[in-house]
Amino acid sequence: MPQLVPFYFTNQIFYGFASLSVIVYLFSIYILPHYLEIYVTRIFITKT
Amino acid sequence: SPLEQFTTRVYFGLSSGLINLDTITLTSFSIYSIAVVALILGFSILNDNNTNILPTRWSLAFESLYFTVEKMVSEQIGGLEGRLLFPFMFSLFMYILIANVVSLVPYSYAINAQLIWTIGLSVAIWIGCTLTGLANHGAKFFGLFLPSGTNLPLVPVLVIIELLSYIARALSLGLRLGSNILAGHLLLVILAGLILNFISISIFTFALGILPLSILLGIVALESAIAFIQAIVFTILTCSYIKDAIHLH
Repeated sequence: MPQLVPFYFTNQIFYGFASLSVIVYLFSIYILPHYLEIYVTRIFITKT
Repeated sequence: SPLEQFTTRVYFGLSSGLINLDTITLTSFSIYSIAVVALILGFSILNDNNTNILPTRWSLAFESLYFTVEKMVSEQIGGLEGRLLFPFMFSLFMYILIANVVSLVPYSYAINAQLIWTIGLSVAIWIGCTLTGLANHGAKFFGLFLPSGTNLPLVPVLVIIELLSYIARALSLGLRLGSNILAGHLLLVILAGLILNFISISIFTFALGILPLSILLGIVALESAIAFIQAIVFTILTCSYIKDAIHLH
């Protein structure tokens, strides 16, 4: 199986975790709070 | 060989006499993982909707995904912990989903069929859950290995079974995702190869080839569903493991 070539193991682990960490950071700091803001505004408009 | 599609290739190798730079070499995996990040960010920015209250079709798609994961996390974990962990769970879900969808493009590369990555991710999550459980509950965390109401003679057997099943989670979570994607892609390549051989025999088999081609299309649709289902399953199970670590049984 080509997946089991040990040469690429560290490369895959490094890029996998690095890319996931970038997404977690950007989602939690910039993107998801922005969406939450819109939902809260919608709730505020419909409830009042 | 049908397995050839999973071969990782080096596109831009870096070398230094002082340190080993193989880790940051640009390979198929690194290029596709960067592409997945770019696609997720592009999708999120496209759905931005310019802070309008009324959603567009794109933002509605994103919001559906948001609420799917939000419901999953609040049902499984709940409380403040659930709110704190939501960005991680959503990122995990989006990463697996987009990586699976990208891998369905013909001649592309399946990140999640690389078992070392999926198992590495699941082992990292498992270690995180275990450390969280130990930090939150101390020695009481080991109560997880003994279901309540167990008869005394069964205790040693059940503790061993529960301990084994807990340790197996580390592998099973990643192996499930990796093997599903691997099997799906292998099936598609093998079937497509067989159909190609069949329709190239004669003009008669070429006309008959529509039938197996429609079956292949059905399998592509099934693989698209599996791409979504596997992302959901991975996220739900991660939530469930975190729930065990936070609330015990």
